[in-house]
Amino acid sequence: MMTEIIDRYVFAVTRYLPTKQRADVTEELSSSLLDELENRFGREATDDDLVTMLKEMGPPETVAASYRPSSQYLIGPKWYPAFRRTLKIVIPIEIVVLAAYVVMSYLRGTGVLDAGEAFDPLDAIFTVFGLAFDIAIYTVGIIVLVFVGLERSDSEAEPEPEWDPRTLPAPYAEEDTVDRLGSIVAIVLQFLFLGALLRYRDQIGFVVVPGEPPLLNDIVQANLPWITAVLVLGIAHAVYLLWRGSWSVLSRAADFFLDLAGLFILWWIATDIRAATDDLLAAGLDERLVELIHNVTIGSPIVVFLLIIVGHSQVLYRMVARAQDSRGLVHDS
Amino acid sequence: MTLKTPQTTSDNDKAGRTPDALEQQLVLELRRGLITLTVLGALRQPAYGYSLRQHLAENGFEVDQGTLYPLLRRLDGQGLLDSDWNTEGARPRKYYRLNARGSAMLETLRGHWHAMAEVVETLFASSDSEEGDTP
Repeated sequence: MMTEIIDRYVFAVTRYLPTKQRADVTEELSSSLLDELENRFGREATDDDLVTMLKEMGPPETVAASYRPSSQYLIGPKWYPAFRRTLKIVIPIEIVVLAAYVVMSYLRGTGVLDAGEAFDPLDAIFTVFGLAFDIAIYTVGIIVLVFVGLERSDSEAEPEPEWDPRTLPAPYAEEDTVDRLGSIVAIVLQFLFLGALLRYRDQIGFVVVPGEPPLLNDIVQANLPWITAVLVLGIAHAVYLLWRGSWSVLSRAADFFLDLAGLFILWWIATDIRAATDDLLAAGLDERLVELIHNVTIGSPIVVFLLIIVGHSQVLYRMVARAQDSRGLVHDS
Repeated sequence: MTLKTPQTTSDNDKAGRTPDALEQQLVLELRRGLITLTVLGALRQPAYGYSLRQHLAENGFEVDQGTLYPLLRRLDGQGLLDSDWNTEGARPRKYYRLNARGSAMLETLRGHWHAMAEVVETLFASSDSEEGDTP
């Protein structure tokens, strides 16, 4: 029985070792364990003595780990931060894309997976949770594999990459940390909006006579390059923020000017539409609808303007307050 | 029936370790760096796993079996030891012995060890005298 317990233990240890080492370790470890047992408990050692001794030595996987000096990490400390960062960016993107896909299925009135079926809210919820779970698992798996590959290919002999402490980012306040999820949502939404705009560029407007270009479509077409430019810059800005991780005075200013550019285009389009109200009436559009369109063209730029002012004034207030604080500190010292 | 009095938690560290457990861990960490040096030093005479462990223990340096046996193989793999199976005894035993490369490494490590011990002692001595100076 005693040798059987030792055999089991040694076998369990060597299972974790490379095949070519196993025979030698088996022989050496068995011999050492028997030596140990005899010297500690004499020839009368019992199974219980042996079990006590092996428990002191440690579980097989721990002992096996000591035999392997090389990296025991799947993803070591060098790659782990990048691994976590990748997960934190990729998983939310997938979830936002999935959510956008569900919203589109809802708008098109089709099932989430099967376009032939009608949209069913309960079915959509279950499908989406299932999909989100599957996608998350696959993604984590693939990202782990990529990083394990990097970890393995990264030999220890390779010198550390050059770095300079002066190029590290300056410390930033908590409120200057970029909201990753917010940036990701912004990227996906702007991307989808741009895609839809370009895809349906000929169909935006009021269809009065079927087959003919919709009314107001010419205004949309004329402003399309400007809208595209602002959206592309918006996406680029959000990607930059995501990569940088923190806001700076410059990126705040860029954000503000992008919002103003968007407002300016909106106001331009609104003005064009107001100028075309006579055409709308002439084309036979209901008078009340035309009045509504007229009011929206006046109201929407004002609302957007107020939103921009409110959104940015908060940040501006914080920046001024902080500047005053730091000046105060200088005076105090 | 006597109830076990719970140990006062005020002496424990943030991880909940008692001073004894903490001491044990710190001593273990201190010794960990010295195991290679002592093993190389002891293997100027050939020895097999258990005999080496006994020898170290008799001289006041206990090493776990789970640490020592794998370490011998690693040092062997690093080319610092020579090893041979001896099948003459009751059971086959693998004997290890320091080779020329190992001897050179041992001398280098000894030099580092003495220098470090000296630095540590000097630091203690200077802080001892500073402590004596403070009123």
